[in-house]
Amino acid sequence: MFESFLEAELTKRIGTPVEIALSDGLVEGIITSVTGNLLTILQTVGYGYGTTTTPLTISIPAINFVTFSPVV
Amino acid sequence: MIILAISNEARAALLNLLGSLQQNLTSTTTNILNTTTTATTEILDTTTAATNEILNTTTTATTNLLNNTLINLLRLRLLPNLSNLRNDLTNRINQTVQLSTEYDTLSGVLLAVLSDYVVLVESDGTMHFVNLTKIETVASL
Repeated sequence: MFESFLEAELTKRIGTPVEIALSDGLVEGIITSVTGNLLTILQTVGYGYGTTTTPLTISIPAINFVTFSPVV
Repeated sequence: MIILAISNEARAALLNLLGSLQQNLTSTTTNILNTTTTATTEILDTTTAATNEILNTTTTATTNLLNNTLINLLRLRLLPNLSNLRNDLTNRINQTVQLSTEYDTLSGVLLAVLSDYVVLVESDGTMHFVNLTKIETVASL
């Protein structure tokens, strides 16, 4: 059901919106790629009209946890 | 022993016939040999090609399998020793637990314990993949 490694599990979920908790903060975005132990998301910054998206590369070992919200 | 008296013409004709018979026999044998050689070569070629293909496919598949196994082994070897934490968490599968990390504390049902992360599901369906190396405390609720 789940892959053995986080890297492989995240690869299966490319295109999904996620929240990623790092030791010093939370980032939100859509998973765009997983290469080795690097995860790239299209980060969503701001709310409403002021929303911008920027690619953000995250080291997978630095992640505290990854959150997937249920689809409403 | 029977001795037949035959004329010179008849003897020549007989010798001719014998000669042509020998020639026919030789050419038929040569033809059969040639056909057999061609057929055998064809079969050998086909068999060799098929065997090579099977060998190549098997070699590629085995190499890929070995490489993947080696990568996974190296990765496990390089991970800090998390077996105690993993065993503890495995005993709490399907229980409601509280896991704390440096960023936040999470509560939910522990769904699975994998090689380098665990899966926690909250009552509203929110799913968390928690990095094993980042778990600081574990408590059952």
